[in-house]
Amino acid sequence: MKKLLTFVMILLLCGAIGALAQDDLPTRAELTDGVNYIPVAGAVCARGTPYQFAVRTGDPDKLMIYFQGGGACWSDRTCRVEDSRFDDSTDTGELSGAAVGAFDRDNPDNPIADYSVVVVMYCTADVHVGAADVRYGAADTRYTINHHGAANAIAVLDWTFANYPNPDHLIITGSSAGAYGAIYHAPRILSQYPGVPALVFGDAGIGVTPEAWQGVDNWNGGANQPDAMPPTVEGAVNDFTYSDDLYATASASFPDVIFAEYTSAADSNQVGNYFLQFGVPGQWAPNARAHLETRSALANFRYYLAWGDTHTILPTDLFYTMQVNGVRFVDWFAALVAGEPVETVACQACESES
Amino acid sequence: MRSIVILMIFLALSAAAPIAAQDLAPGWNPITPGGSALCARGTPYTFYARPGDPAKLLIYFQGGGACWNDETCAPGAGWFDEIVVGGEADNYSQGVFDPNNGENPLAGYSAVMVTYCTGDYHTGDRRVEYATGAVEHRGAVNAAAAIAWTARQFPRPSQVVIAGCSAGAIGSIYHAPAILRRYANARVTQFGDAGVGVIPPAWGGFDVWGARRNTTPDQVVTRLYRAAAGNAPRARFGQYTTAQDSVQTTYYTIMGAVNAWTLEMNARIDTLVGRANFRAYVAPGGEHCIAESGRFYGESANGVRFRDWFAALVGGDLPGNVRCEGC
Repeated sequence: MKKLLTFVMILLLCGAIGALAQDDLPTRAELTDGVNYIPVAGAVCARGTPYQFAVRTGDPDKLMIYFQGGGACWSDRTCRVEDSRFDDSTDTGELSGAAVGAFDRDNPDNPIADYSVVVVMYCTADVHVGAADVRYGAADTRYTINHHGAANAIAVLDWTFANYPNPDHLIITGSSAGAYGAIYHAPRILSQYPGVPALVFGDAGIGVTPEAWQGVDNWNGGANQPDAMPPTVEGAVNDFTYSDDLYATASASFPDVIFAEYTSAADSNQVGNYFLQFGVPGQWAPNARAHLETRSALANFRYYLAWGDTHTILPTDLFYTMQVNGVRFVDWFAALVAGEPVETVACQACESES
Repeated sequence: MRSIVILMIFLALSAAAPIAAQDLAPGWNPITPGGSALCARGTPYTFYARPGDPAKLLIYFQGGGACWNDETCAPGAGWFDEIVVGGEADNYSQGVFDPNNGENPLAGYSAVMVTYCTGDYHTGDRRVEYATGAVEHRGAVNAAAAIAWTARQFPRPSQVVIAGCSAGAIGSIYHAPAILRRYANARVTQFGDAGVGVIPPAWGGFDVWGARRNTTPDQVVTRLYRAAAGNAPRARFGQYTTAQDSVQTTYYTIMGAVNAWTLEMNARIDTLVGRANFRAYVAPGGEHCIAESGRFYGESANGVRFRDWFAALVGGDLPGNVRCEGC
């Protein structure tokens, strides 16, 4: 792993991943009503194809920044085309096709139906934190993955800051891999909107990793992590506690903001990735609970632990149907958005609805 | 002179058996045999032991992928688990490791966790210089050290369960004869969990690893079962798999798959189910190991709960074969 890091460092020194230009991007006034896809010149996906983000117009005072999910990769086994453990393009997303869950503008129960939505689309296999060109495979099968998630996200955020300068409601969220993007970039966004009532909500990305796993390092996540993060050891982040550290850092820096997370108790997708990191699958659920309990020590942190093994809730109909201990998720989420006091909700017998 | 020779012999024996039986603290105790017991990148090998009823012993072979060429063995390539981390055995608390479930058929067992960090199905004894770096394929050495220590620490169990998940399923049948020899008077059950051994005939991994037993890849696991079950008619043998196991199919593919995995898997099971002391449980779906999972208690196929089938295999009247249909 140290060799890999050294290699990553060399690439960084070569200036492989710089800031992306904003000049050619349309302004908000130039967008059409509805869904817009905006290519970012020079920004690339994991396998070198062009990158774009998406904006759904809405009430300009209400802003949701949504980090898209789509798997991740950190090794040949998980990065190779044949096993496609991640989405390597920005061709489609939550805003294409029929809008469901939190993206459904026509459901009267949707508390955020009228929000403007910026989707930080995702195709870099690095949970939006990467800053490295990493070579995987061996000999004649060697290939490069452009883990450019941080630069892509920052380009989208810079556009957002310029075009939505004064929202009075703010939601920073993301599903699956996007949940990590949301908490990783939250301090950057919250600093831009001081005093704006804000919710940071991670959907189905708890950050349970085995102790030996070093993916965030592999992606060079330390390069763009929040300024207030604790100093790293020899330039390396602590992967095992990285999500805990991100929540602790952000919640301490922004004590008036509510931070919240959702997961199902046995999320099959998160369990699957844990296995690929050589974790014992059966141990994901108890470890996820332990991480959530650790974060619950933060005064402004809440979570909703749902029964079952489904993955994500915002882009699914579970947004309206999930109910735990008599509390509908959509009502719980609406209260968070409204800034009302909300308590943690956790299933007891988590195998089925109770 | 004679005393020097005796001393030398004594020292040689000591070197061959460096770890003695010891008092174990409650919970998992790390045991580092030293010598040539190594993980893939040359770090020391550590296995774990948990004290319990001395009459009941579980020897569990951990899984963790495999590697056999420049590509799969490259550092960080993700095809196998390269190290044992401190407290690794603490990661097990589900299925047969669940201390709080009253239905756990292995509750109270003494247990040895034969950890796995060598990418060789616990069978290797060779250092291999790949273009992408050297790998110590010392799985057989590591397992032998763990088994020797176990035999001293737990000399007279009446009930022994040998089990393993994935790569560990293959390790558990590969090393079953050595364990059976040491526990000839015990009631022994071997259980291979999600490692049926569907391997393309041309695949050369066992030779790369320097595995010593007859490991021609075609039908290797089936032959290991035949030999072990034939030589130990009083012992019981079982295998579990799902019909579409997502992990077994992935490895079969990169080994150079020949036919559909499910077809091959069923053919392997077909050749074993006729034996008096072998039983199979083939479940629908694509999940991987079950014994270390919470699914151990919840999963059923053909109306037979897996937990009950396993409990019968280990302790009661032999269960029937359970094979999902059209799955």
